[in-house]
Formats: sequence, structure tokens, C-alpha cells
Amino acid sequence: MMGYLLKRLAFMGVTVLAVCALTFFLMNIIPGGTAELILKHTVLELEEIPTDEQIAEISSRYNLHDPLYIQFGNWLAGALQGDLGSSYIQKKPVSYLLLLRLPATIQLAFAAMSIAVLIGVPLGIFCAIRENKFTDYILRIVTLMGVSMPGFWLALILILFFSVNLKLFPVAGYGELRYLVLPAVALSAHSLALTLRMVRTGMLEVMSQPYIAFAISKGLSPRHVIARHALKNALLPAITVLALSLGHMLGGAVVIESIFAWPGVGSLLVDAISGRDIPLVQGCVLTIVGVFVTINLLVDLTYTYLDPRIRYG
Amino acid sequence: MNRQRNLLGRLAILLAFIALANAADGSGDQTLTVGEIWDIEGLDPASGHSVTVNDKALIVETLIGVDESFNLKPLLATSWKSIDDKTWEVNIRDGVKFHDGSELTADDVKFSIERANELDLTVRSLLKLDSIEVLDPYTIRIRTTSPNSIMPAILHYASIAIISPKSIGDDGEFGKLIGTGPFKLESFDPQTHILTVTKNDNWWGGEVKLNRIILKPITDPNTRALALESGDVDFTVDVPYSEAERIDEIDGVNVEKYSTPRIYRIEINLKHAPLDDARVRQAISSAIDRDEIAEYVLFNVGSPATGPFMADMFWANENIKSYDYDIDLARELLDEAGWKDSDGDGIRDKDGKPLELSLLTYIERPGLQPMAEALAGQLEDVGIKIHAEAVENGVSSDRQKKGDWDLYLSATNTGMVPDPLYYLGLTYGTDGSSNKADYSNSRVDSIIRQAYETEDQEERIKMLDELEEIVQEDLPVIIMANYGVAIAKKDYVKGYVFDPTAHDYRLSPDMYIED
Amino acid sequence: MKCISISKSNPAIQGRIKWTPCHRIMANRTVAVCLVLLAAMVIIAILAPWIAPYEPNDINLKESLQSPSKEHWLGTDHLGRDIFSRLLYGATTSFAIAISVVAFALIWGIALGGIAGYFGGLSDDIISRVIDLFLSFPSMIFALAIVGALGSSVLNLIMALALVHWASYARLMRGQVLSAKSNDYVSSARVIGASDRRILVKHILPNALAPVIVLATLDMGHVILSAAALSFLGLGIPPSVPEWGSMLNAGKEFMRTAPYLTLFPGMAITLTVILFSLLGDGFQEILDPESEVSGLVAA
Repeated sequence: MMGYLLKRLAFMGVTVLAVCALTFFLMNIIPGGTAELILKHTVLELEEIPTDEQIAEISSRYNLHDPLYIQFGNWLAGALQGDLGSSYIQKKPVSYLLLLRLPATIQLAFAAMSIAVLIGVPLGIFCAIRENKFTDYILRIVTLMGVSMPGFWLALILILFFSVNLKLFPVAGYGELRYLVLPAVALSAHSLALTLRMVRTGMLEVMSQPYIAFAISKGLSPRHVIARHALKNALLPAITVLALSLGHMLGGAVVIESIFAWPGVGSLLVDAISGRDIPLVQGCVLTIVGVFVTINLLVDLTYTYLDPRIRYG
Repeated sequence: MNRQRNLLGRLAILLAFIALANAADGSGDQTLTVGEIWDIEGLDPASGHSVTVNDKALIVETLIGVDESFNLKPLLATSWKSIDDKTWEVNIRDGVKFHDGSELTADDVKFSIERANELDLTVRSLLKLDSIEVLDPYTIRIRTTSPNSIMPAILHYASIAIISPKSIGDDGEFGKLIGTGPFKLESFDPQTHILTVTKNDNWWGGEVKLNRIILKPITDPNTRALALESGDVDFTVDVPYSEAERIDEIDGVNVEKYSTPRIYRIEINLKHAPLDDARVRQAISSAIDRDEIAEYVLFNVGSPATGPFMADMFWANENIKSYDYDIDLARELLDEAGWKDSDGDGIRDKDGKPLELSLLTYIERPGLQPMAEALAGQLEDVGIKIHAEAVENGVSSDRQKKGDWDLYLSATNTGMVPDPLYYLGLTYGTDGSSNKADYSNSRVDSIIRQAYETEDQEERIKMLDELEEIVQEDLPVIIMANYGVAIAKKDYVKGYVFDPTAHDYRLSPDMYIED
Repeated sequence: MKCISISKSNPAIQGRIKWTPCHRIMANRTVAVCLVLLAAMVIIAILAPWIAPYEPNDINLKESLQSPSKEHWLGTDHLGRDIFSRLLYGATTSFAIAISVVAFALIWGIALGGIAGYFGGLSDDIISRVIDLFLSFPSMIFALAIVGALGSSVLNLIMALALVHWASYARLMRGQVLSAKSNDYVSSARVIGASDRRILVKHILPNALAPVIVLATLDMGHVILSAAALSFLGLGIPPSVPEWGSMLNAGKEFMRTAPYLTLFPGMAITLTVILFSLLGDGFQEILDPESEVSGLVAA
């Protein structure tokens, strides 16, 4: 196990490095010059054209004309020492900007995941037990709406009903707990639907295994069988999918973040990409990759707990 | 049964508590909560945050202001005159105090201008600054590197707001913003980006009625509308255009629509045939029903326009003629240019090639995409096939640079500097940096050159009127409409007067909350 | 004691627990009905140019934002175009995108995830790293890079989306295979000397696939919505081309004044997802292994 962990940690480093390098490379070749967009997001309007002097000034200020491998090398050297550089547009240290946004993102992701798990898992089991009965159908269809609705739709409906009409929660913003409720519910819809389905599917898969029938035929109570045998194995696909959802919530909750004015990492990243603010993009991607690979490692370790027969190597 | 009732009772009390905690706090104290359209990332006017701290938070002011007709008026400067073609002398108002109590002097002004010139590259290219000399505590001389007849207008530019040198910390980093405006900085939350300012009791300009203004960035227009309806904000701007009517009809809320100096315009790539034929350009302009677009696409947030300058602007050429909506003329011009529909498919063609054009625009401004589609529909009525695309601004400007475009729809601000020469020179001069269409007319160039050297404003304007007439005939750029702004506020917010010279919108020290 | 419903294909219990007629009919008929409805949708989509009452891009500003009526069954959008017609024409594009992307992602995901899970070792190490990379990479940058390098087209859009989606399927598949691989009948099959391929196909795949199929069906809607989001970056769908995701996005600002702009495309997407999903659930039944059980029960 120790060897496996060390190996995985080494791999994490490799993955993070590869992703950062790829990000850096792609950010430099996508349409829209870096210098030009920096200017358009600071001192110029979107419609103004930067003069050659302005572009030259910005390029030299940030060494944008250096060969890419040198620019990346500099960034990497700094990153290894904990210095992620400064945002071209906001002119503040990238780590500072990230640390400001991370708590909000983590809170939102955690809240949304909790809703998905606390409601999705029990309901998924419920559906599996009542396979093909009326309630199963209804719940399945409701969850299907959860995955096919655009994020903004549910968000705006929630605000309209609970904020404007019932005045129970604020419309948007960040602060005390009451600001978290609506965005968390809106963000959880997709994962909730996914979790419920995965648990249901996993349960059905397991329940069709011979050893389950065997256990029941031997006289063990069905509830006992489900709880002790079926659930653990059934949870495996659900955990995988939940972990994927969590990763997406960290960097991809842009729509929810912008509708609820939630200061998260997702919108920070999208704004940085729009402005070609490369150090900030690198910092965000680094964080997101780091979290993703860590989560995947934890999930892989959880597999061995859920299904002790699983071995790696 | 009892347990259930108890639980329900407790739930009801909980909900009541939550509702109370959220009760909208409208009138009562003189605090105005504003739903701001852009994210607030900082407070340094020389680093791109000038509009926020100048127009909206009212923390800082510029030397020279403008009135509703865009005439220059004294602000922190009381008067100015040109000494020679490269030198201007500016007199500074005395008795003005910064928020920390210190007096505004010429040294502070010199500091602010030089700092803005150093940090803000646009200021650098506009000002053409050579040096600033302090003659006495209330007089400075500004020398430019080349004749700059519109220098005073440039001093109105928000980035050249006057700040106290004490705003900069000992480490050279920007610290706490200290200005001269009617409101002073109370707090800026680095996480939520909420900016709070409080009344400046010592403002030189008179009495300030509001106690506090809270600026909350809400970038989604639907959310802004909902925040206003729920009472989370008292004042906001640019609710979705289609919602303006509906929100206006809500009790206690009112929405006003105004035009701004920004214009919707179509630039034409003169290097792509058949757009090099003036008749085709004129036909395109004649085929556009601007009234219909203003009404159905913009929902009258914005108005049809003929020339690049709003009627409010004192230099606007009222006699400007243009190729307005005249569908018969459009068809005539296209026929004349040799474009006829020979194969009956509804699209004109010539020598076997159909008249197909690409119309490129970007997504960052709300009205552009539907307008592009509407234009496609209108131009098809005269037999021109349009491929409309709306993409990210980085992508669209990249394509424009590479020449991969026929028509480019944008929403450009023509009043950044309150003088027509700035916009006209950039757009129509052969070397103008905004002249992406590659338009080149020697008469136009000579007018521009002369105008930069002409001191007398009236004369300058007459010259530029001629320029406008030439370009309206040549039509390298087709003007569509003025970009509008919808100001939505609660009825208890009083004293607001729309300022057409503002960048997005400007709050006013005369505002107050009626109890 | 309440009767728990256990998968009917398990022969060990088939005789013991009563399958009410209700269960049986529902399980089988669902698949049939879904297939029929989906086929109908595809046919209608293809026949759109003949069925639709209006042209999809018949812009008529004066008739914009009209509620559903006799002339316009589902109303008109913000530019006066008939929503029903656009829905019909958009079906082809939306289907094409959803099915291509999901099919592509499924194939790559199942293949790579399966190899990683089954063979383990070096292949797992390498493939898992590739999966991690594609999972965490921001899709916006991918999309912009593809636009820049290859230009804008529906094909490139599909490619961008497939690149972003396959990794989730691979990850799920890998977990499933890991779990299925250690099953008893796999080891017994190995003992007998069955080849890897036979084991994979006959024993592992049927067990592992079910959640992956479910994910695929649920993903359809998500793909359509992502396609619309990427179009904002200049990738693939120009605003005039009718497509359900773009229609949803365009209708966002009109949610209060004209909710039918978002309602109908949303319903279309939801219906598609429902059909595919119920279909996928039906597959789960079909894939249930039956032969492996006999050995154990006999013993």
C-alpha cells in the first residue's frame, strides 16, 4: 500500500506538470493575442484597437516575446517555490486571488455534494427496491429533468420563487449561510440525478448477483442483505460519478456562480481565459488538476474498501 | 399527531425568522444599494478601475468635467488656456480638501497626471505628455510633445482622476484610495467585491444627501432584475432589454431608458469585393430598417442613429444625411452595381457568384447577437445572403486583424474624449488605429491633420462636419443606432439625473432616499 | 414481509418470488415503446423540411415574441421565427451532436477504461494519467484551441465535446471493470483457461457496462447544453442555425416575458433524455448474465 501511494503521488506530480504545460502551450496559440486582450481588459474597451506602442509595452513588461519554453520554465521555477506569479490584469499575486475564491468554491461544492448524497443515495436504494413500480418511474423521470435542464433555468426559477416571492433567501451574493442555500440547490440538481441513477443501477446490478439470491434463500432478512452486501458494491459507480461531479463543481460551476454572484474559482478561470491572463489561468488550472487527481486517488483507495477483492498492480 | 404539529410549528417559526432576516431594507437610512453591472476588481483609477471610482462610487474627480451637451466645464480645475501650440496652463481650484483632510495643491495634480501617464497606456497615447511644471500651488503648465488642441478634453478622461499621493503606500503599492469626491472609501471586500462609500462632509461641491452607497457587482442581467424586484438593491442598470417594460409596471419600481454615446455600427472591409463598390455599401445601409431594429431587437433601449455622435453632443452635425431605410433605393443601387438575381433563388448574383457576406460580431454586449441576426433577415429581403456569427471578442478581433471578415458589427463609444476629432481621426484617418476597414481618403486625412492644429473649437467643428459628410457618402462604416441604457430603480430613490456623458451610468451626489 | 423485487432474470429466484404481471409488462414494453418513439423522433427530424410550417430562419421582427396560437403552434421567438419549425429543424442538429459525441465518448471510454481496469499495471498507470489530464483540463481552452487551429464547424464542435467527455466514461468503466474482474466466475473462467478476450466479452463487459450506459443516456442532455455553451466561443453553431441548446440560451433573457422560448426546447431535450434513459435502463435487463449462474446454483 505504501509503495502504491508513493507511486501515485509521483504520478500526480507528472499529471499536474503535463496539464500545466499543455494549458500554457494552448493559451499561447489560441486566437486573440495576449497583449491585446490584456489591454482590452484593463485600460481599453473591447472595441478599441491597441496601438503598436501599447502592445510593445505590454509584451516587454511581461516578456511575452520570449520563447514559450523559457516563459514556461520561468513560471515552473517560480511555482515550485510557491510563487505562482501575478495576474496580468488584476496585478495581484495569483495565489492571493485563488485563496480568496477557494473558500467560496469549496463551500458551494461541499453543500451541493451533501445534498446530492443525502438525498440521492437513499432515493436510489428506494428506487432499486421498487424497480419498475410507479414510484420508480416517477422518480426517474424527475431526475431526468434534473440532468436535462440548463443550469440557469433552475437557478432563475429558484430565485424567483424563494427570493422574490417568498423572500426567504437573498437573490445573490456571498456571506452568511443564507446566501449558500439557493446556489447549492441549483448546483446539486445534476449530481443528485446522477447519484440517484447510479445507486439504483448499482443496486440492481448487485441484487441480480447469485450470492444475493443465495443469501436470501438461506433465510437472511432482505434488509440485512442489502445493507451489508449489496450497498457497498452498489456504491462503487455512485462514488466514481460523485467524485467526477465534485471535480466539475470546482472549476465548472460558472453559470451558477455568475447568476448568484458567487465568488468562485470557476468564474475566475473563465474571466482569466477571456482576458488571456495566463498566470491566473495557470494558477487556476493547477489548483483544479491538483484537486482532481487527489480526489481520484481517494476514490481509488475507496474502491479497495468498498470491494476488498479489488487489488491494484 | 402532536409531534407533527410541533414540528410544523417549529418549521413555521424558522421560516418566519429567515424571512425577517431578509426583509428588504429600502428606505429608512440614507443608504443606496446599487446592483453594479461589472465586477469590481480594484480601486486604482490609473489601473483600469477609473470608471468605478469616478462615475459610480464618486470617490475621485477629474480636473475638467463635461455638461450634458458635452461642453467642457470646470471641476477641480477652474480655468485653462493655451500658452502656445504645445503648452497649456491650468488653474486649480483652491479650498478643495482630500478625504484625509489635506489640501489639494498643484503637486498633487502633477503627481496624479504623471502617475496616470506612467501606468495607463491609453493616457499616454492621448496626452502626448512631455512635462508638467508647477508654477505655484494652484497653477500648472502641461507641455505636450506635439500639438494637441484637444488636451483639455483629455483631462476629462477618467483615468486621470486626481488622487492624493498618500493613496500609495510606502512600498510603492496602491493602498487606500484618497480622493476629493462627494463620497469617501469606507470598505472594499476583496472576496465579494462589494464596495462601500460614505458621505464626504467636506465636499467642495456642496451638500451630499446620501449617507452611504453600497455597490454590489451582479454580472447577470436577469439576476439584477430579480434583485431589484426583491428589494436586495435599490438601483440598477441594464436589466434585460425585453424586461424593461414589465419591470417598469411593477409597483414601486420605475425604469427609464436613455441613449448613450456608444453606437452600434457596422464596419465594412473595403478590401473584399464587392464591398469596395460604394453603391453596394450604400445599398446595405438603405436596406436596414433601423426603427424596426430599435423597437424589436433593442426594445427601445437605444434609438436609431444617423451619425456617430448623439444629438446631445454640441458638435453633433444636425444636418447629416445618411442612407436611411429606403428599400427601393437599396434595390436600385444593387441593380446599378450589376447585382441581379439571375437564377431566381432569392439571392443576387453577378458573373456566377452569389452576393454572400459574412457578418461578424462578439457576444460580450447583449444587443449585438440578436441585432446581427435581425440584420441578416433584413438584408436577405434585398437579396444579400448574410452569414452571421457571434463569437468571443478575442476570436472576433483576431479574425478582424487577419482580414477574415466582410462586415463587423460592434458597439463603440464615440464620447470617450469629449471632442469629435478623437473618434473621427481614429476611425477614418488612413493611419487611424481603429480604421480596420482600411479606408483611405486624402481629403479626410488632410482635414484631420488640420483639425489637430486648429485651436478654435468652432472652426474645428466646421471642418469635421465636412469630414462627416464625406464619410457618410463613402460609408466605410454604417451607423445603426445608439446603444441604450435602462436605469431601473425603486420609486423612493430620488434626485437621480441621467448623465449622457457617463461611461455606463453616473450616480449623483444629489440623490437621496425618500422616507 | 414485503416482497422485494429482485431482477427477474436471476433464475435462482424466478420460481420463488412472484413477478407480478405489472413488473414484467413494464420492463419489456418500456424498451419497445422507447425505441418506437425515438425512431419516430428521428423520422420527424429528417422530414422536417417537409413537415415544418415555416422556414427556420424566416425572420419577421414585427411578429416576435408571440404566444402559442393557431398560426404559430408554439409561438415565435425574439426575432419572429416560428418555434415549432425551429424545433423540428433543430432536432437533426441536436440529435447528431448528442449521438455522435456520446457514441464517440462511449467507444473510447469503454475501450480505454476497460483496458486500464482489466490489465492493470502499466497500462492502468498510463491510461489513468491520460484520463486525469482530460478530466481536469478546462474545456473552454480546448474549444478555443480547436477554433483557432481548425476553424468553426459542427464537426469540430463534436470533436471538442467528445474530447472533453470520454474521460468520465473511461473512469467509470475502469472502476466497474476492477470490480467485475475480481468476481468468482471470472477466476473460475480463468482457471478453466478462457482467453482474456472471452473473459472480457462474456463475463466482465455485461456486468460492467450498465452504469456506463446509464451515464451515457443521462449525458445526452448535458452534451446538447454544452454544445450551445461552446458556440459562444465561436465553435460550431452560428446563431441562426436552429438547435435546441442555442434556442435555450437565446431564450434565457425572456424567461419572465416569454417562457415558451425556453420551455419547448427544454421539453424537447428532456423528452430525448427520458427516451434514451429508459432505453438504457431496459438494456440493463438484457445484459444481465444468465449462464454464469447455473454453475453455482447446481452446486
